[in-house]
Amino acid sequence: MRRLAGIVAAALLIVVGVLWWTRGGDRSTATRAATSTAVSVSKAPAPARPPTLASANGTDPAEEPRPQPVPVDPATAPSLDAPVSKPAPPQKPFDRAETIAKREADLKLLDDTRTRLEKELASAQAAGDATAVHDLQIRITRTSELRKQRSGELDKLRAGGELPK
Amino acid sequence: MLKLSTYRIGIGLLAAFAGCTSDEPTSNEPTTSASTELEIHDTSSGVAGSLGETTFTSSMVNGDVLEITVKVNCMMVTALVDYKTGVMEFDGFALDTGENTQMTDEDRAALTELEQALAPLGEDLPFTLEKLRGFVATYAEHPSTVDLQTIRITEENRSWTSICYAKNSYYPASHDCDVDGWWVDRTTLDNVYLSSTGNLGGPDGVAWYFPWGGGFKCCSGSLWCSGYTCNIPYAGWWSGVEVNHDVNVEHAYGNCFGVCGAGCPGSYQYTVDCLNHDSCVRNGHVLASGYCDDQYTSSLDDWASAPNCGA
Repeated sequence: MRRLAGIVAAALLIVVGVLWWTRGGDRSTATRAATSTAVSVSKAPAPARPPTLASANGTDPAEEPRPQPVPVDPATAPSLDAPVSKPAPPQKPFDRAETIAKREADLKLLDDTRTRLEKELASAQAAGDATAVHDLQIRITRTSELRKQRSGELDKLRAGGELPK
Repeated sequence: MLKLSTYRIGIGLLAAFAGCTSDEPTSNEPTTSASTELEIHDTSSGVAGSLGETTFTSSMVNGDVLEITVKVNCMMVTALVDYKTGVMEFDGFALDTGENTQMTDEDRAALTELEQALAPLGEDLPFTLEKLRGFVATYAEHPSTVDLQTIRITEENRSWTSICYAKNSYYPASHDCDVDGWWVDRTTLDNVYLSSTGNLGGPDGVAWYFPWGGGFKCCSGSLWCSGYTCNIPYAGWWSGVEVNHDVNVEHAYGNCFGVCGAGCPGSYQYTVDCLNHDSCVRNGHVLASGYCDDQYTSSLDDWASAPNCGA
Protein backbone atom coordinates (compact mmCIF):
# COMPACT_ATOMS: atom_id res chain seq x y z
CA MET A 1 0.00 0.00 0.00
CA ARG A 2 2.79 2.42 0.90
CA ARG A 3 4.60 1.48 -2.32
CA LEU A 4 1.45 2.11 -4.38
CA ALA A 5 0.90 5.44 -2.64
CA GLY A 6 4.48 6.39 -3.38
CA ILE A 7 4.09 5.50 -7.05
CA VAL A 8 0.87 7.54 -7.27
CA ALA A 9 2.55 10.50 -5.58
CA ALA A 10 5.51 10.30 -7.95
CA ALA A 11 3.21 10.08 -10.96
CA LEU A 12 1.28 13.14 -9.79
CA LEU A 13 4.51 15.07 -9.37
CA ILE A 14 5.62 14.08 -12.88
CA VAL A 15 2.29 15.16 -14.39
CA VAL A 16 2.40 18.49 -12.56
CA GLY A 17 6.01 18.97 -13.62
CA VAL A 18 5.30 18.22 -17.29
CA LEU A 19 2.27 20.47 -17.38
CA TRP A 20 4.29 23.21 -15.67
CA TRP A 21 7.10 22.83 -18.23
CA THR A 22 4.87 22.67 -21.28
CA ARG A 23 2.67 25.64 -20.45
CA GLY A 24 5.54 27.71 -21.96
CA GLY A 25 4.50 30.42 -24.41
CA ASP A 26 1.32 28.72 -25.55
CA ARG A 27 -1.20 29.98 -23.06
CA SER A 28 -4.12 28.76 -25.12
CA THR A 29 -3.60 25.05 -24.53
CA ALA A 30 -6.27 23.33 -22.54
CA THR A 31 -4.84 24.46 -19.29
CA ARG A 32 -7.96 23.59 -17.36
CA ALA A 33 -6.35 20.18 -17.09
CA ALA A 34 -3.36 21.77 -15.44
CA THR A 35 -5.68 23.72 -13.22
CA SER A 36 -7.52 20.57 -12.24
CA THR A 37 -4.24 18.91 -11.46
CA ALA A 38 -3.20 21.82 -9.29
CA VAL A 39 -6.50 21.62 -7.44
CA SER A 40 -6.19 17.89 -6.95
CA VAL A 41 -2.68 18.37 -5.65
CA SER A 42 -3.75 20.86 -3.05
CA LYS A 43 -6.95 19.05 -2.13
CA ALA A 44 -5.44 15.59 -1.89
CA PRO A 45 -4.48 14.36 1.52
CA ALA A 46 -0.81 14.69 2.25
CA PRO A 47 0.79 11.88 0.26
CA ALA A 48 1.96 8.87 2.18
CA ARG A 49 5.70 8.80 2.53
CA PRO A 50 7.53 6.64 0.03
CA PRO A 51 9.68 3.87 1.45
CA THR A 52 12.68 5.51 3.03
CA LEU A 53 15.97 4.94 1.34
CA ALA A 54 19.24 4.99 3.23
CA SER A 55 21.29 8.00 2.23
CA ALA A 56 25.04 8.13 2.15
CA ASN A 57 25.28 9.30 5.73
CA GLY A 58 22.50 7.06 7.02
CA THR A 59 19.89 9.76 7.66
CA ASP A 60 16.41 10.04 6.16
CA PRO A 61 16.11 11.56 2.68
CA ALA A 62 15.11 15.19 2.31
CA GLU A 63 11.47 15.83 3.26
CA GLU A 64 9.21 18.80 2.77
CA PRO A 65 10.67 21.71 4.68
CA ARG A 66 9.26 22.09 8.17
CA PRO A 67 9.42 25.75 9.17
CA GLN A 68 10.53 26.26 12.74
CA PRO A 69 9.15 28.78 15.23
CA VAL A 70 10.99 32.00 15.89
CA PRO A 71 10.18 34.00 19.04
CA VAL A 72 8.72 37.47 18.56
CA ASP A 73 9.84 40.26 20.85
CA PRO A 74 6.84 40.77 23.15
CA ALA A 75 7.51 44.51 23.12
CA THR A 76 6.68 44.64 19.41
CA ALA A 77 3.68 42.30 19.50
CA PRO A 78 0.13 43.45 20.20
CA SER A 79 -1.09 43.10 23.76
CA LEU A 80 -3.55 40.29 24.40
CA ASP A 81 -5.61 42.96 26.14
CA ALA A 82 -5.80 45.16 23.02
CA PRO A 83 -9.30 46.27 22.02
CA VAL A 84 -11.61 43.80 20.33
CA SER A 85 -13.80 45.29 17.61
CA LYS A 86 -17.39 44.30 17.13
CA PRO A 87 -17.87 42.31 13.93
CA ALA A 88 -19.66 44.06 11.07
CA PRO A 89 -23.19 42.89 10.31
CA PRO A 90 -23.46 40.03 7.81
CA GLN A 91 -23.64 41.02 4.16
CA LYS A 92 -27.17 40.87 2.79
CA PRO A 93 -27.22 38.92 -0.47
CA PHE A 94 -28.84 40.34 -3.60
CA ASP A 95 -32.32 39.03 -4.29
CA ARG A 96 -33.64 37.91 -7.67
CA ALA A 97 -35.07 41.27 -8.68
CA GLU A 98 -31.87 43.08 -7.79
CA THR A 99 -29.73 40.53 -9.57
CA ILE A 100 -31.83 40.77 -12.73
CA ALA A 101 -31.61 44.57 -12.68
CA LYS A 102 -27.83 44.41 -12.29
CA ARG A 103 -27.54 41.86 -15.08
CA GLU A 104 -29.57 44.09 -17.37
CA ALA A 105 -27.16 46.90 -16.59
CA ASP A 106 -24.34 44.52 -17.36
CA LEU A 107 -25.64 43.92 -20.87
CA LYS A 108 -25.60 47.66 -21.48
CA LEU A 109 -22.07 47.84 -20.10
CA LEU A 110 -20.97 45.18 -22.56
CA ASP A 111 -22.76 46.89 -25.45
CA ASP A 112 -21.17 50.23 -24.62
CA THR A 113 -17.78 48.57 -24.25
CA ARG A 114 -18.03 46.90 -27.64
CA THR A 115 -19.01 50.18 -29.28
CA ARG A 116 -16.07 51.94 -27.65
CA LEU A 117 -13.60 49.22 -28.56
CA GLU A 118 -14.74 49.35 -32.18
CA LYS A 119 -14.01 53.07 -32.26
CA GLU A 120 -10.60 52.44 -30.73
CA LEU A 121 -9.99 49.75 -33.33
CA ALA A 122 -10.76 52.16 -36.16
CA SER A 123 -8.29 54.64 -34.66
CA ALA A 124 -5.63 51.98 -34.23
CA GLN A 125 -6.06 50.81 -37.80
CA ALA A 126 -5.77 54.37 -39.07
CA ALA A 127 -2.60 54.83 -37.02
CA GLY A 128 -1.12 51.57 -38.22
CA ASP A 129 -0.69 50.26 -34.67
CA ALA A 130 -0.69 46.54 -35.37
CA THR A 131 -0.36 45.50 -31.72
CA ALA A 132 -3.32 47.58 -30.66
CA VAL A 133 -5.33 46.32 -33.63
CA HIS A 134 -4.59 42.72 -32.67
CA ASP A 135 -5.49 43.22 -29.03
CA LEU A 136 -8.66 45.16 -29.77
CA GLN A 137 -9.89 42.60 -32.26
CA ILE A 138 -9.56 39.93 -29.61
CA ARG A 139 -11.33 42.05 -27.03
CA ILE A 140 -14.20 42.85 -29.39
CA THR A 141 -14.67 39.18 -30.22
CA ARG A 142 -14.59 38.16 -26.58
CA THR A 143 -16.94 40.97 -25.56
CA SER A 144 -19.43 39.91 -28.23
CA GLU A 145 -19.30 36.28 -27.13
CA LEU A 146 -19.56 37.25 -23.49
CA ARG A 147 -22.58 39.40 -24.26
CA LYS A 148 -24.36 36.40 -25.74
CA GLN A 149 -23.44 34.30 -22.73
CA ARG A 150 -24.63 36.90 -20.25
CA SER A 151 -27.88 37.34 -22.16
CA GLY A 152 -28.51 33.63 -21.85
CA GLU A 153 -27.76 33.72 -18.12
CA LEU A 154 -30.19 36.60 -17.70
CA ASP A 155 -32.92 34.69 -19.53
CA LYS A 156 -32.45 31.79 -17.11
CA LEU A 157 -32.66 34.13 -14.14
CA ARG A 158 -35.87 35.62 -15.43
CA ALA A 159 -37.24 32.11 -15.89
CA GLY A 160 -36.56 31.34 -12.25
CA GLY A 161 -33.13 29.79 -12.57
CA GLU A 162 -30.74 29.53 -9.63
CA LEU A 163 -29.23 32.76 -8.41
CA PRO A 164 -25.48 32.92 -8.95
CA LYS A 165 -23.35 32.91 -5.81
CA MET B 1 -2.27 65.49 -5.57
CA LEU B 2 0.60 63.84 -7.31
CA LYS B 3 0.80 65.06 -10.92
CA LEU B 4 2.34 62.65 -13.28
CA SER B 5 4.15 63.50 -16.42
CA THR B 6 6.60 60.69 -16.66
CA TYR B 7 7.35 58.93 -13.40
CA ARG B 8 10.35 56.67 -13.20
CA ILE B 9 11.73 54.71 -10.32
CA GLY B 10 13.88 51.67 -10.00
CA ILE B 11 17.10 50.54 -11.53
CA GLY B 12 17.85 51.08 -15.18
CA LEU B 13 18.58 47.60 -16.38
CA LEU B 14 17.35 46.74 -19.83
CA ALA B 15 15.71 43.48 -20.86
CA ALA B 16 15.13 42.07 -24.32
CA PHE B 17 11.55 42.42 -25.57
CA ALA B 18 9.83 39.14 -26.38
CA GLY B 19 6.75 39.18 -28.59
CA CYS B 20 3.58 37.31 -27.63
CA THR B 21 2.59 36.00 -31.02
CA SER B 22 3.96 33.09 -32.96
CA ASP B 23 3.65 35.03 -36.23
CA GLU B 24 6.21 37.35 -37.73
CA PRO B 25 6.22 40.74 -35.96
CA THR B 26 3.31 42.70 -37.34
CA SER B 27 3.91 45.93 -35.50
CA ASN B 28 5.24 48.88 -37.48
CA GLU B 29 7.16 49.91 -34.40
CA PRO B 30 10.80 48.90 -34.11
CA THR B 31 11.68 46.21 -31.61
CA THR B 32 12.54 47.90 -28.33
CA SER B 33 14.06 46.86 -25.08
CA ALA B 34 11.72 46.83 -22.10
CA SER B 35 13.04 48.85 -19.17
CA THR B 36 12.65 47.45 -15.68
CA GLU B 37 11.94 50.93 -14.36
CA LEU B 38 8.35 51.70 -13.41
CA GLU B 39 7.07 54.17 -15.96
CA ILE B 40 3.71 55.91 -15.63
CA HIS B 41 2.31 58.70 -17.76
CA ASP B 42 -0.97 60.54 -18.02
CA THR B 43 -3.42 59.75 -20.77
CA SER B 44 -6.49 61.68 -21.81
CA SER B 45 -8.64 59.65 -19.41
CA GLY B 46 -6.27 58.15 -16.85
CA VAL B 47 -2.83 56.62 -16.72
CA ALA B 48 -0.74 54.11 -18.59
CA GLY B 49 2.71 52.65 -18.10
CA SER B 50 4.95 49.68 -17.76
CA LEU B 51 7.32 47.76 -15.57
CA GLY B 52 9.60 45.56 -17.58
CA GLU B 53 7.46 43.67 -20.05
CA THR B 54 4.31 44.23 -18.01
CA THR B 55 2.20 47.08 -19.35
CA PHE B 56 -0.96 48.59 -17.99
CA THR B 57 -3.68 51.19 -18.53
CA SER B 58 -6.28 52.54 -16.15
CA SER B 59 -8.91 54.91 -17.49
CA MET B 60 -12.32 56.35 -16.79
CA VAL B 61 -14.29 55.59 -19.91
CA ASN B 62 -17.96 56.35 -20.61
CA GLY B 63 -18.34 58.54 -17.54
CA ASP B 64 -18.76 56.26 -14.54
CA VAL B 65 -16.89 53.26 -15.91
CA LEU B 66 -13.33 52.39 -14.95
CA GLU B 67 -11.39 50.17 -17.32
CA ILE B 68 -8.09 48.55 -16.36
CA THR B 69 -5.94 46.45 -18.67
CA VAL B 70 -2.74 44.68 -17.70
CA LYS B 71 -0.57 42.73 -20.11
CA VAL B 72 1.68 40.27 -18.34
CA ASN B 73 3.52 37.24 -19.67
CA CYS B 74 1.61 37.16 -22.96
CA MET B 75 -1.71 37.37 -21.16
CA MET B 76 -4.10 40.30 -20.88
CA VAL B 77 -6.36 40.73 -17.87
CA THR B 78 -9.06 43.37 -17.89
CA ALA B 79 -11.51 44.88 -15.44
CA LEU B 80 -14.58 46.97 -16.19
CA VAL B 81 -16.19 48.66 -13.18
CA ASP B 82 -19.46 50.51 -13.62
CA TYR B 83 -19.64 52.58 -10.46
CA LYS B 84 -23.15 53.79 -11.25
CA THR B 85 -24.78 50.37 -11.57
CA GLY B 86 -22.45 48.29 -9.39
CA VAL B 87 -21.49 45.79 -12.08
CA MET B 88 -17.97 44.51 -12.66
CA GLU B 89 -16.76 42.38 -15.54
CA PHE B 90 -13.37 40.66 -15.41
CA ASP B 91 -11.62 38.86 -18.24
CA GLY B 92 -8.27 37.25 -19.01
CA PHE B 93 -6.99 35.66 -22.18
CA ALA B 94 -3.91 34.56 -24.05
CA LEU B 95 -2.63 37.37 -26.25
CA ASP B 96 -1.48 35.12 -29.08
CA THR B 97 -4.78 33.31 -29.63
CA GLY B 98 -7.40 35.24 -27.69
CA GLU B 99 -8.45 32.07 -25.93
CA ASN B 100 -9.09 31.45 -22.27
CA THR B 101 -6.15 30.97 -19.98
CA GLN B 102 -5.50 31.01 -16.26
CA MET B 103 -3.18 32.71 -13.80
CA THR B 104 0.14 31.00 -13.18
CA ASP B 105 2.84 31.34 -10.56
CA GLU B 106 4.88 33.40 -13.02
CA ASP B 107 1.98 35.77 -13.57
CA ARG B 108 1.43 36.21 -9.85
CA ALA B 109 5.14 36.90 -9.40
CA ALA B 110 5.11 39.56 -12.12
CA LEU B 111 2.01 41.19 -10.66
CA THR B 112 3.56 41.11 -7.20
CA GLU B 113 6.59 42.86 -8.64
CA LEU B 114 4.34 45.52 -10.16
CA GLU B 115 2.44 45.88 -6.89
CA GLN B 116 5.68 46.37 -4.99
CA ALA B 117 6.71 49.05 -7.47
CA LEU B 118 3.36 50.83 -7.09
CA ALA B 119 3.16 50.56 -3.29
CA PRO B 120 5.65 53.35 -2.49
CA LEU B 121 3.76 55.92 -4.55
CA GLY B 122 1.92 57.04 -1.45
CA GLU B 123 -1.71 57.74 -0.79
CA ASP B 124 -2.46 60.98 -2.66
CA LEU B 125 -2.83 59.49 -6.11
CA PRO B 126 -5.09 60.06 -9.09
CA PHE B 127 -8.17 57.85 -8.81
CA THR B 128 -7.25 55.71 -11.81
CA LEU B 129 -3.76 55.04 -10.45
CA GLU B 130 -5.02 54.24 -6.97
CA LYS B 131 -7.48 51.73 -8.41
CA LEU B 132 -4.84 50.22 -10.66
CA ARG B 133 -2.72 49.57 -7.57
CA GLY B 134 -5.61 47.89 -5.77
CA PHE B 135 -6.45 45.77 -8.82
CA VAL B 136 -2.87 44.64 -9.28
CA ALA B 137 -2.52 43.81 -5.58
CA THR B 138 -5.68 41.70 -5.71
CA TYR B 139 -4.75 39.93 -8.93
CA ALA B 140 -1.29 39.12 -7.56
CA GLU B 141 -3.16 36.62 -5.36
CA HIS B 142 -5.46 35.31 -8.12
CA PRO B 143 -5.59 31.51 -7.83
CA SER B 144 -4.95 29.39 -10.89
CA THR B 145 -8.20 27.56 -10.18
CA VAL B 146 -10.46 30.63 -10.41
CA ASP B 147 -11.71 31.60 -13.85
CA LEU B 148 -10.31 34.87 -15.13
CA GLN B 149 -13.61 35.69 -16.83
CA THR B 150 -16.28 36.47 -14.27
CA ILE B 151 -18.94 38.98 -13.29
CA ARG B 152 -19.36 40.55 -9.89
CA ILE B 153 -22.22 42.60 -8.54
CA THR B 154 -20.89 45.07 -6.04
CA GLU B 155 -22.41 47.23 -3.33
CA GLU B 156 -21.22 48.31 0.10
CA ASN B 157 -22.22 45.95 2.91
CA ARG B 158 -23.76 43.61 0.31
CA SER B 159 -20.62 42.36 -1.47
CA TRP B 160 -17.87 44.24 0.37
CA THR B 161 -17.62 45.56 3.89
CA SER B 162 -14.94 47.92 5.07
CA ILE B 163 -13.49 47.36 8.53
CA CYS B 164 -11.35 50.49 8.73
CA TYR B 165 -12.88 51.01 12.18
CA ALA B 166 -11.24 47.79 13.38
CA LYS B 167 -7.71 48.82 12.44
CA ASN B 168 -5.31 48.32 15.36
CA SER B 169 -7.70 46.03 17.19
CA TYR B 170 -8.61 42.36 17.24
CA TYR B 171 -11.24 41.09 14.81
CA PRO B 172 -12.49 37.56 14.10
CA ALA B 173 -11.83 35.74 10.83
CA SER B 174 -12.99 32.44 9.36
CA HIS B 175 -13.21 30.32 6.22
CA ASP B 176 -14.68 27.05 4.99
CA CYS B 177 -12.61 24.20 3.63
CA ASP B 178 -12.06 20.46 3.71
CA VAL B 179 -11.46 20.65 7.45
CA ASP B 180 -14.79 22.22 8.39
CA GLY B 181 -17.34 24.95 7.67
CA TRP B 182 -17.48 28.62 8.55
CA TRP B 183 -17.23 29.89 12.11
CA VAL B 184 -16.34 26.65 13.83
CA ASP B 185 -13.33 26.47 16.09
CA ARG B 186 -10.99 24.76 13.64
CA THR B 187 -11.56 27.28 10.84
CA THR B 188 -11.91 30.40 12.96
CA LEU B 189 -9.38 32.75 14.45
CA ASP B 190 -11.14 34.70 17.17
CA ASN B 191 -8.54 37.47 17.33
CA VAL B 192 -6.70 38.69 14.26
CA TYR B 193 -4.90 41.92 15.03
CA LEU B 194 -5.42 44.21 12.06
CA SER B 195 -2.37 46.38 11.51
CA SER B 196 0.18 47.43 8.94
CA THR B 197 2.87 45.32 10.60
CA GLY B 198 5.00 43.86 7.82
CA ASN B 199 6.23 40.42 6.98
CA LEU B 200 7.36 38.60 10.13
CA GLY B 201 8.92 35.67 8.29
CA GLY B 202 7.88 32.08 7.77
CA PRO B 203 5.47 30.76 5.12
CA ASP B 204 3.00 33.67 5.42
CA GLY B 205 4.81 36.38 7.38
CA VAL B 206 2.41 35.89 10.30
CA ALA B 207 3.01 35.64 14.04
CA TRP B 208 0.79 33.48 16.24
CA TYR B 209 0.15 33.46 19.97
CA PHE B 210 0.67 30.02 21.44
CA PRO B 211 -0.93 29.81 24.90
CA TRP B 212 1.52 27.21 26.25
CA GLY B 213 4.69 25.38 25.30
CA GLY B 214 4.13 22.10 23.47
CA GLY B 215 3.05 20.61 20.16
CA PHE B 216 0.66 22.43 17.86
CA LYS B 217 -0.71 21.64 14.41
CA CYS B 218 1.29 23.35 11.68
CA CYS B 219 1.72 22.94 7.96
CA SER B 220 4.72 23.41 5.74
CA GLY B 221 3.33 26.30 3.69
CA SER B 222 4.57 24.74 0.47
CA LEU B 223 2.27 23.53 -2.33
CA TRP B 224 1.27 20.44 -0.37
CA CYS B 225 1.04 22.31 2.97
CA SER B 226 1.99 19.06 4.61
CA GLY B 227 0.86 18.84 8.21
CA TYR B 228 3.31 18.35 11.03
CA THR B 229 3.63 19.14 14.72
CA CYS B 230 5.57 22.27 15.47
CA ASN B 231 7.10 22.32 18.92
CA ILE B 232 6.77 25.63 20.74
CA PRO B 233 9.23 26.00 23.64
CA TYR B 234 7.04 28.28 25.77
CA ALA B 235 3.90 30.41 25.65
CA GLY B 236 4.09 33.63 23.68
CA TRP B 237 4.13 35.12 20.19
CA TRP B 238 6.01 33.10 17.58
CA SER B 239 6.54 33.63 13.87
CA GLY B 240 8.23 31.44 11.27
CA VAL B 241 5.49 28.81 11.07
CA GLU B 242 2.00 28.38 9.64
CA VAL B 243 -0.64 27.14 12.05
CA ASN B 244 -2.90 24.44 10.62
CA HIS B 245 -6.44 24.72 11.99
CA ASP B 246 -5.26 24.29 15.60
CA VAL B 247 -8.18 25.05 17.94
CA ASN B 248 -5.77 26.20 20.66
CA VAL B 249 -4.40 29.12 18.61
CA GLU B 250 -6.74 32.10 18.40
CA HIS B 251 -4.45 35.13 18.02
CA ALA B 252 -2.51 36.18 14.92
CA TYR B 253 -1.06 39.30 13.28
CA GLY B 254 1.49 40.41 10.73
CA ASN B 255 2.04 40.86 6.99
CA CYS B 256 -0.89 43.29 6.78
CA PHE B 257 -3.35 40.60 7.88
CA GLY B 258 -6.77 41.65 6.56
CA VAL B 259 -5.54 44.06 3.88
CA CYS B 260 -6.77 43.32 0.37
CA GLY B 261 -4.23 41.91 -2.02
CA ALA B 262 -0.61 40.95 -1.96
CA GLY B 263 2.09 43.15 -0.63
CA CYS B 264 2.71 44.85 2.67
CA PRO B 265 2.63 47.81 2.55
CA GLY B 266 -0.15 47.66 0.06
CA SER B 267 -3.59 49.04 -0.52
CA TYR B 268 -4.53 49.34 3.18
CA GLN B 269 -8.07 48.38 2.29
CA TYR B 270 -9.18 46.32 5.30
CA THR B 271 -12.36 44.41 4.45
CA VAL B 272 -14.22 41.40 5.81
CA ASP B 273 -13.76 39.40 2.62
CA CYS B 274 -10.04 40.13 2.33
CA LEU B 275 -9.54 39.22 5.99
CA ASN B 276 -11.35 35.91 5.55
CA HIS B 277 -9.29 35.16 2.45
CA ASP B 278 -6.09 35.85 4.37
CA SER B 279 -7.29 33.60 7.19
CA CYS B 280 -7.80 30.77 4.69
CA VAL B 281 -4.46 30.93 2.88
CA ARG B 282 -2.54 31.55 6.11
CA ASN B 283 -4.17 28.92 8.33
CA GLY B 284 -3.58 25.46 6.91
CA HIS B 285 -3.78 26.31 3.22
CA VAL B 286 -1.75 28.11 0.59
CA LEU B 287 -2.53 30.73 -2.05
CA ALA B 288 -2.92 28.02 -4.69
CA SER B 289 -5.35 25.99 -2.59
CA GLY B 290 -8.70 25.45 -4.23
CA TYR B 291 -10.33 25.56 -0.79
CA CYS B 292 -9.69 29.29 -0.61
CA ASP B 293 -11.14 30.03 -4.06
CA ASP B 294 -14.53 31.09 -2.73
CA GLN B 295 -12.93 33.42 -0.20
CA TYR B 296 -10.87 34.96 -3.02
CA THR B 297 -13.89 35.33 -5.29
CA SER B 298 -15.78 37.09 -2.51
CA SER B 299 -12.93 39.58 -2.16
CA LEU B 300 -12.56 40.16 -5.91
CA ASP B 301 -14.64 43.32 -5.94
CA ASP B 302 -13.33 44.93 -2.76
CA TRP B 303 -10.37 46.77 -4.35
CA ALA B 304 -12.67 48.83 -6.55
CA SER B 305 -14.68 50.53 -3.84
CA ALA B 306 -13.40 49.85 -0.32
CA PRO B 307 -11.77 52.91 1.26
CA ASN B 308 -8.06 53.13 2.00
CA CYS B 309 -7.81 52.91 5.78
CA GLY B 310 -4.27 54.29 5.86
CA ALA B 311 -1.20 52.64 7.29
